[in-house]
Amino acid sequence: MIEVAHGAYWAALGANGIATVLYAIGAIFQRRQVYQAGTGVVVLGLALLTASMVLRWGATGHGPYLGRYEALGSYAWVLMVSYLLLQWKAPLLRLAGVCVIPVVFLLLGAGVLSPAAPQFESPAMKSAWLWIHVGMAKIALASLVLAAGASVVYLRRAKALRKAQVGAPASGASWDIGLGRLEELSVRLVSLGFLLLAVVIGAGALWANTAWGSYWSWDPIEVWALTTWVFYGLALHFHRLWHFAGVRWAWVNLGTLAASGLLFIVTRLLALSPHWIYLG
Amino acid sequence: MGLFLACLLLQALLPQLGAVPRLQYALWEARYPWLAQGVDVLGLNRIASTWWFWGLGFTLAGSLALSTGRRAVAMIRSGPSPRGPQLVLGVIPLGESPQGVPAILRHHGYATSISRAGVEGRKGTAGPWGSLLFHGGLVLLFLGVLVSAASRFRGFVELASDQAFQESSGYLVERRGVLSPRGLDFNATVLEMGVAFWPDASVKDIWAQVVVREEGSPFVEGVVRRNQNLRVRGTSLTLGSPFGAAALLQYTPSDGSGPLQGYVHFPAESPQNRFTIPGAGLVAEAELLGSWRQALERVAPSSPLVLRLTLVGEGNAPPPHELGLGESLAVAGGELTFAGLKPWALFMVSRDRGLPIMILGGLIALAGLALALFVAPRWVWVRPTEEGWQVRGQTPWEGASFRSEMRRIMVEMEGSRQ
Repeated sequence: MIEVAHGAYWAALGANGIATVLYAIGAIFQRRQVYQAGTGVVVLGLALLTASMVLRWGATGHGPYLGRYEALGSYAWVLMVSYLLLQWKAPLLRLAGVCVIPVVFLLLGAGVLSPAAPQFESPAMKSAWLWIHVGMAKIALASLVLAAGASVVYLRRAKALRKAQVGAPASGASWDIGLGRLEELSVRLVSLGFLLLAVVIGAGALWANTAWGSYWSWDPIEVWALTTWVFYGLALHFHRLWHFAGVRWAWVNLGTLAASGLLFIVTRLLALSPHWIYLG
Repeated sequence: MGLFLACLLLQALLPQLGAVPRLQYALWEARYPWLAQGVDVLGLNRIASTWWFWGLGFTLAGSLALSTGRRAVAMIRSGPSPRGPQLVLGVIPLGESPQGVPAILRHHGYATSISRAGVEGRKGTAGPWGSLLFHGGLVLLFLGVLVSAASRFRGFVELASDQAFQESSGYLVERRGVLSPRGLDFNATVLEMGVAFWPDASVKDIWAQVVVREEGSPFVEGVVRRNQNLRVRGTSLTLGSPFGAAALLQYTPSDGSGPLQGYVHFPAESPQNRFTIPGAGLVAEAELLGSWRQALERVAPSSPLVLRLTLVGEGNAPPPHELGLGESLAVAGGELTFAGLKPWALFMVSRDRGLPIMILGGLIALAGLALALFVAPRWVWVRPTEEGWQVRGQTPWEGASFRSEMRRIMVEMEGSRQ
């Protein structure tokens, strides 16, 4: 059963690889049908990943959160579901796949290169706080990546509008209703991610007390989560207090995600953390 | 804020003493010796325990408290004030008085007030209050951290079932990262204990029935489970890892004096230990063999339970002795009996007076954050000018939805003129 699940995981990775290429071609050559086909391939990838996770859950008896293989797979799953739902409700965001699907591909790629052997769930992990911590972390990541996707679409649309309005005042682009909606969407998604990150940190602290005997131990991953939260707090202050709107907000949003992601990778490479037991 | 962020970044990137296991830290030191030396000299491997980091944190907290206090006073006096770019929507010749405008604004959820200056509509003013609550909650959280740092302690004790805290081999209290022996201000006895070994274990199977007696307080009896603490007047009793088997050994001297009893603890992952037999002056190396886990889980053992003893004081390379449950061994000046096997566990006793303040601060901050992030305040003014009634709107951060609402309001106002 585990082998079949692993095969489906690989197939989901392949489907997302194809979708990444289709989105890139669609965006570069401005072919709507091509990235619409990409969305179809993402649906197929989601079905394969769902099958892989269900089979593995049945075989191991625990949810997909132990070890890097399972953790990254479930992060990718939540991101795909959120993207598909959001682009269905707001078709303006379909092109956000150019940013979102490569992230899914990278998550699955890193997952498939990790040890796939199932890990046992220790008694300390059977806690409601852990479920809240892990579940909210996945939704928070999806919100923040989708917000970045909305900012990518914003920048592309703003550039297209500027080109179309040669000779018109530069501020004309900011009156485009699509641009306004995209900006609002990205701000709301960042707000949701920021709120959920706070819940993730709080629930994690409560769980850590029962598992490790301490609410906060300055573990590198705890500090990384707090730093990411502070980064996004600053980004929201930029938007609300200092009115970083439009193109400036889009770049602040993308920069914050890039800085947080980069910090995570460097932390993973350099620092030691008990979290690696669960995250691989 | 920049310095505080820099400290956080360094803590995320550099391993911190106390936050990572000592062995892992030693491996890191061996891998990057030049970096480890520099980090140690600068104190960057223990940032969270330095005075300058805490000083920086509390300077930030103090500044946040002051600015939040000033904002709170201003908002209590005059309510939330409009912020953000103003949007001039146009001028409508409504006539001498803006009849119908308040009704239109109320239809869109605005609270309206009419004065000589015109009509003012506002809604979503809970948002700025949420922001104030969020920052106030953070201040409370910092206050809780301060109280916790000053008063918090954690103590660790290993107990077998039917054993009292006072009979334990040692109770170590950690305060500000230092472990030291200390007396307890309450007495607790473990009546019974249930253990289970994972992967098949269920959390419900790991428990201890404890009786607690405090000075001048009634008897308290409760069950502490894995992931479920027992609280007695602000003190928490946590059942932690590791746990394992405690062998009850009885030494009976041949001179007829009374027998001596003691527990030898065997951790679940490696059931070996070394102990001294009191009275006999011998050191013994012990190992549990057979189905001891099944015996503790109260399942019929599939193989007999055996305690293998190697008496170190008996000359070179002595042969090991194997004792079944209830069997005895003749040792110097007496007899050693393997009298029983019980589960044991590590208990944590903790008291943190800052915790309720931190939890309250966290909850207030979360509630405030939800309001601040998702309730956007909006203001609309309809004021007389020479050309007619000028309609203006203001909101700090909403773009498209505010514009579309303003457009609808304008259409309705123009419609009301006809």
